Amino acid sequence: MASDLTARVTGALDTVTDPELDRSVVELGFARAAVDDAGRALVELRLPTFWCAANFAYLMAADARDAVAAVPGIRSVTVRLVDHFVADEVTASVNGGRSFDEAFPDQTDGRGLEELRRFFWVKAFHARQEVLLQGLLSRGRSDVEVCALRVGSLDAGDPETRPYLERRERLGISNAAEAPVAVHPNGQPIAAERLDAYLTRARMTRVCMEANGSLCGGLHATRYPTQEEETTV
Amino acid sequence: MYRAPDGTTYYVVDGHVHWWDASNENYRDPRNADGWIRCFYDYHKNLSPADYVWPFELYQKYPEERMIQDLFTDGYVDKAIFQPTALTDFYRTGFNTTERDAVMKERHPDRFILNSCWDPRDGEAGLRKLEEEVARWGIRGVKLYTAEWRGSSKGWKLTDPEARRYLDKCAELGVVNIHVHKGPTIWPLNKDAFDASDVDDVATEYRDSLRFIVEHCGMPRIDDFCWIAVQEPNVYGGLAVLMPFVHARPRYFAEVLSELLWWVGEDRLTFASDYALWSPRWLIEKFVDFQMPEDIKEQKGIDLTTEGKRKILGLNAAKLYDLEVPAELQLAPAAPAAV
Repeated sequence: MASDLTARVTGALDTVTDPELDRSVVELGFARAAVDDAGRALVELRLPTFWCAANFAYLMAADARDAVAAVPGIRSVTVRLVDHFVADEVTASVNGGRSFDEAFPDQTDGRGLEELRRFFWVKAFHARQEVLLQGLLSRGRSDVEVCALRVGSLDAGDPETRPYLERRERLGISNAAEAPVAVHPNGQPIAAERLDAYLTRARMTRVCMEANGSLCGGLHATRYPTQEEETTV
Repeated sequence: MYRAPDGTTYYVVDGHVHWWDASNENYRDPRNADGWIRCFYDYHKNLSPADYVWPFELYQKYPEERMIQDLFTDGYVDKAIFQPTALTDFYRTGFNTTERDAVMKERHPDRFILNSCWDPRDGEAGLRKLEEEVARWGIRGVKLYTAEWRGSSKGWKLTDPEARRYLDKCAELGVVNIHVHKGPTIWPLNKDAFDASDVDDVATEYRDSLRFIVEHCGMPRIDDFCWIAVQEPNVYGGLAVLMPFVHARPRYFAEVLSELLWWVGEDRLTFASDYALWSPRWLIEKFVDFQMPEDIKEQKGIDLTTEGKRKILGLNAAKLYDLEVPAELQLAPAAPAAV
């Protein structure tokens, strides 16, 4: 029974992404969870370096707490950030329900992390859109056809479709059937004559995110070489 | 100078080297000092070929002879630029101060270019110190680490009024090469620590007087860096930390380099090992050996030619620092313009 619950908790954790990399913290090896018979979950966060930015560390910890707490059968969640320059501050504040501003008094401008989060949501959106649209172009559609395409006619079987729609939704972009597929982060359609320039810039964003993911993954593996062999937290 | 197996020769400037002391005896703040050097060591281990990985104790503090051998005897480097990283809150005598580098520079004057650093939080005293350093060592460049902690302060921005006073002073004294490193943790903590938009602002403002070399090409915000560099002719990209990808992640190296070539161009990128993070010998050999994959050449219309490699490995930095390059290591004279 506990193992079934553990699987659901890991599934919930898998929906949490590293904001900079737009990849699952489970897939990256940054987070793992254990659950006891009483429904108490422990999530441990191990990041690639001691210096990973405090704000991203907090976001991942808080998102992990929220995702796991929403799993039916879970009665309490404890998140532990380890081996990190602000491990204690982040751990205590996330478990105590305190905001980032409260965790670091006098070290923020008091406006929280939402602006930062949105900035990286936009990057993730560009990167996903670039892959989706390049796929459409490489399968023979013209720039004009791609820019005329509506969400309702996207191929649900294309593995790029769902991640792209999710990233639109986070930004508040309509996913209604008649909404245009090729859009700017504000939802305005991309003009066909601007598509090439848009994709060139979006490609740069995607390449950088992928390279960062590769570096962070490598550093994590160097830092925790035996993680794969360990069984539980 | 590096002579490739095909006989092509390259003038080499290593644009970013350190002579640090992160030995246990030098720890002032043991937790952060240890966290700092272990983080460096993970970068070193993760991206170096296995036979170039050092033992941790050597990595914490390495002798002069080792550095000379790795850079100049084995490493093909003609000139190396010291970029200090003070970190005096973490290490008793600092991690890698200008004073420490100056000892090496004075013993090998023709090999090293000595850069200094400043911190706007030092106010008037720091400006005087910069003047003295320029008089004493002929400083032409500074390394700015905007994320450096100081007491309760977790960093600063180039656009701060105090920082502008220092930039003015640099322009006045001919300290024209401003190397900027972005990284965690900068104030306010709820903003992106790697945000380089302040570089954009000051690059415009000091377009005729200063050059801004963004170290690590702004990594992990290479995309934001490219967007700034494409608009600002006095912004350059330092390739420290990206270079080892040529061995450890060759596909990503090709992808990222092709983007840098597209947006920034081969005239504004400079080679660096970030020694002792990595050793120049293998970086140079593998970089010269590197060929842009055919699919990238085709898709993006980008190539890396021998001429581009010569610029990146040394000729671009030689221009920034007015170094004399032997005639045979210069670019071939341009062919008569074809119409």
